[in-house]
Amino acid sequence: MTSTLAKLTSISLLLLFLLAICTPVHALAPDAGAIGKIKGSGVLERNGAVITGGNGIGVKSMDTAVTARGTMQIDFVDETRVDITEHSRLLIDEFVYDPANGVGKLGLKASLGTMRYASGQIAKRYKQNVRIRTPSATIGVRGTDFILVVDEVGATMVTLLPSCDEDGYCFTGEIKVETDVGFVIMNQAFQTTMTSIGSQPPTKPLTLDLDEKMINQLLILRKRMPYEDEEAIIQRQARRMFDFLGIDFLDFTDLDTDALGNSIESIWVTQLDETDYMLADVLYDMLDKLNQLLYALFKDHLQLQNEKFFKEEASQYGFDPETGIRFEKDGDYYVVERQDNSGDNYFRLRLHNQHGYNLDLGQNDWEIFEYEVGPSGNNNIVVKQSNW
Amino acid sequence: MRSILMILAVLAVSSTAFANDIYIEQVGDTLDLDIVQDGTDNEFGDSTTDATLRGDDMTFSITQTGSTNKIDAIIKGNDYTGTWTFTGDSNEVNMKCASTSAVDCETVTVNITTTGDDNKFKVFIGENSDADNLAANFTVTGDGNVIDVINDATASDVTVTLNNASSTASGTINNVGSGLTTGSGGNYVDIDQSGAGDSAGHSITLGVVGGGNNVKILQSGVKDNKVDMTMQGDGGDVNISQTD
Repeated sequence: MTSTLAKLTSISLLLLFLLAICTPVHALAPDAGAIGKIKGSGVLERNGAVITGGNGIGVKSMDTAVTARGTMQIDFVDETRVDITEHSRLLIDEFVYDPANGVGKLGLKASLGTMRYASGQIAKRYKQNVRIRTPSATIGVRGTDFILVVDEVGATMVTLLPSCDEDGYCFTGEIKVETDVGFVIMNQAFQTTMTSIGSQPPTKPLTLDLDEKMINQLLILRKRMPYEDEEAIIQRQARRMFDFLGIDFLDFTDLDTDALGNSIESIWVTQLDETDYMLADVLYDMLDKLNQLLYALFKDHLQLQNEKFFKEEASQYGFDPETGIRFEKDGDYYVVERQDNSGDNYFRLRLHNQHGYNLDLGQNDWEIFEYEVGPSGNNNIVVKQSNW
Repeated sequence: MRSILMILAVLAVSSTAFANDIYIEQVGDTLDLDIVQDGTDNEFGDSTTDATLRGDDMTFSITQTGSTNKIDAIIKGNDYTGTWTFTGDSNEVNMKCASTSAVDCETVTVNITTTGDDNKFKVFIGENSDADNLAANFTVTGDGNVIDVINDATASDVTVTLNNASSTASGTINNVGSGLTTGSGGNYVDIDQSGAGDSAGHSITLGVVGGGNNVKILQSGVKDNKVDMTMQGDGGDVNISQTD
């Protein structure tokens, strides 16, 4: 009897053990963060299950945040934050954060859509351990913000943004965008690169002219606090001024408007305002006046030059596959020639370049009118070819 | 039968105009005929009684110096070579080769050179019967000249060189039509190349220097049609049609 009881106990313990090990590890793992705010429809996909999104719902590693007609904000425990816009899909590939032991690692995989990301302590302390993947690119974050857009076929656009710290100091960091066969490093604000597939290198970075509305549609990696906190920063700064001057600066209502837009706008306005453009304007006006005077002085000569240039050199020499016309220059003559589709009909016109010619050329349904050769003139040439 | 006929007609023009009229009915092969006419109003055949040259392997050359000279000739036979030279104004040529004859007109070479104004040249090659291998070469210096070539040979090469560079002509000759009416302005060229053409096909080589030249070209045939034109001058009007 005792033996039987012992066996049952052993079996029970074994079942409990098996149950324990069969439970997904991430189900037992601590939350990487939580849904801070959700608007509209959004879910978390976890181990085959779908968890309806809601404020305060925990987010774990290997969760996939999916939005349809809604937006979702995920706050990570290291102060990293992700704002996911509509019709997006983001996998929390890896999240490890143990500041006591100096460990931090963040991996995300954006497979579709547009999102906004504000990095936290991991990006600040262990920037080499932050890696964002898309179907066609891997982005290494080197302490800066950027935009990430992924389309339906995995093509990715990455745009570098300036980063600003809590004291309002802005700088531009660096990101590395790489594919299987190449990489680019961007370190200037609003530089943009694109990747189409992994077997092709990223495009050469270009600088985009973006506005705030466009930025709001995209995923942004930032090293600073989330955008809403900017108002708090301003309030703290205002509080310090209030404490110092005894004036309640909190009465102003400007912060009631779009704090995010205003804050970024003010950052750039402030930077631009640091430059004295008055001298540049004066120099520009001087150069403009000088150019006008020079143009008036040499206008006739320039017009003759332009006339000669456009009449003789602007023409496209060579074979035009669309019309089948070959246009060449042979000494003092322009040569226009064409062989029809059948190869049976052929003409060649050698036209002296001191005279102008208007050509109407055609074959069956194809026609080209007013094919001008040489300077303006009154020679009219009509060539019709009808054969295939 | 070999026949060589040499006719030299010289008209000394004094104060009174005088015309030499030549009518020839030649039968036989290997004709070699050279005619030189000086003066005005000379005729070699006329519109009602053409000079008829019948036979193969003919060489017929004529030189007319003066104005208002005229040639009306029919060539019936193969392998004809002719060199016709005109110096003067208002000369007129009507040449037909096998136009109404069952006799083939093959391997015809005609070289026509004129210096003067208001000349008219009309050449019909095989328009009503088979004809092969025409080579017609026109060299025209002057204004108001009309060249009308109707060629139904299965292969033909026509070369026309127009030069009225010394002229101030700028307007084209209009309303020429079948009447071969000359007019003020440059020169008028109307070439109609029909027929199937052989492997060499039809070709036209044009050199136009001067103003107001009017060129009409119609090429048809299942083989190659080629036009090679060099043009220098203003007020030109060129119309080229290549059809099958």
